Amino acid sequence: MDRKRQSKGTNSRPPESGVRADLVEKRRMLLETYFENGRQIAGELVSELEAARRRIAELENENARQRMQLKSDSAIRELITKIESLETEREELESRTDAVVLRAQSESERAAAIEQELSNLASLYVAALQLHSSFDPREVVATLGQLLLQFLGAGAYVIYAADRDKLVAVLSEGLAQDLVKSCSIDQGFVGQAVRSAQPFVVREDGTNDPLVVVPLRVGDQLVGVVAVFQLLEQKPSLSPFDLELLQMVSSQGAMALAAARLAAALPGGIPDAIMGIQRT
Amino acid sequence: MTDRLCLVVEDSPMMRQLLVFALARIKSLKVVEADDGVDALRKLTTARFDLIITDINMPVLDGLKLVKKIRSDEVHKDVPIMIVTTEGSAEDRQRALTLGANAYITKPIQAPQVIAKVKELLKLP
Repeated sequence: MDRKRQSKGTNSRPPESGVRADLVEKRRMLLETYFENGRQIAGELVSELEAARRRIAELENENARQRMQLKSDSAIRELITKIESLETEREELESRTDAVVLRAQSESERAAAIEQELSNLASLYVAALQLHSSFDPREVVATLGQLLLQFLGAGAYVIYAADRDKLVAVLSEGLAQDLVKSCSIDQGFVGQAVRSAQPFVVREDGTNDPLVVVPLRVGDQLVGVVAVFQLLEQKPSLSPFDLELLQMVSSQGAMALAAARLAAALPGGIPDAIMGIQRT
Repeated sequence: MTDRLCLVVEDSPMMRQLLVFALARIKSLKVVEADDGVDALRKLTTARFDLIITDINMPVLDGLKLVKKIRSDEVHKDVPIMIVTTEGSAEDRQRALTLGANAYITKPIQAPQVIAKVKELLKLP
């Protein structure tokens, strides 16, 4: 109605009404454009806001992920440090274990060497004890023979007793009887050994001479000779201990044999001799 | 630990004494000595032995015959027997083991070797 009225009014004043209509129209269009632009801007702002929110969410996610990663990296670093420390500890322990094993091995070898030495000393002690356990020359010679067979491992040997410039074979083992002969003190390899100042002589060539000759001496006096021709099958060669044993045979064997021969030569036996000592 | 009883049969006093010396290194082992096979059989009737060590070459009754007799003896048929001898051939060793010996050591002996073998036979630490 107002418009109609206004239209009527404009009709009464046509030029003014036309201008106002234009202005109204322009204002309307302007307002419409304005609001349209505002709507567009608002829409754009909303879109941008949403995009910004999405971006924030993404960044927050990324941040959380990075934090987790950092945490995980730190845990890995700690684990690596721990592994390195454990590796060092393991190496130290291995080194200590190796040292302990070496020490145990060395101790074990030392214990074995001591046991062996003890065994050797026991053999020497038993041999000497048995050699001096009788004044019967036959028993002393038999003991010497046992010593050569059981302790030295002599498979073939001859024991000679010295009788002035002769060596009389008194006991043999492992040799044919015709090979066991009495001989002169300065004859052959035995004679060479007797003339030498050595307690025993070991043959090193491949002749048929005895393998070992042991002159039995008390001081300068020759009491007898031991000649070993062959070792037992299971005994390939003489050991360092065998040489100690031969040294013992040379001294203790000689003394035992000399003592037994003297005791046997005494007219009244040993008690008379002891009584004689007491009287002087 | 209960004491174990060992019979050493050896005609050579020197060798017997050396074996006794070696065996003295083993705690809880008591040793009875016999001069030969016959003496050993006599001593076997007086006690229950845990181990018998014997030589082969002995007068009257040798070591191999002794092993045979021990293996047919009700009390000692399962007792370990160790031969200690100068006989070093493979045939001698085989013969002794076939007859029932459990170990075979040749002379000259090494005490540590004897001790180790005795411990093994008696299952001692």
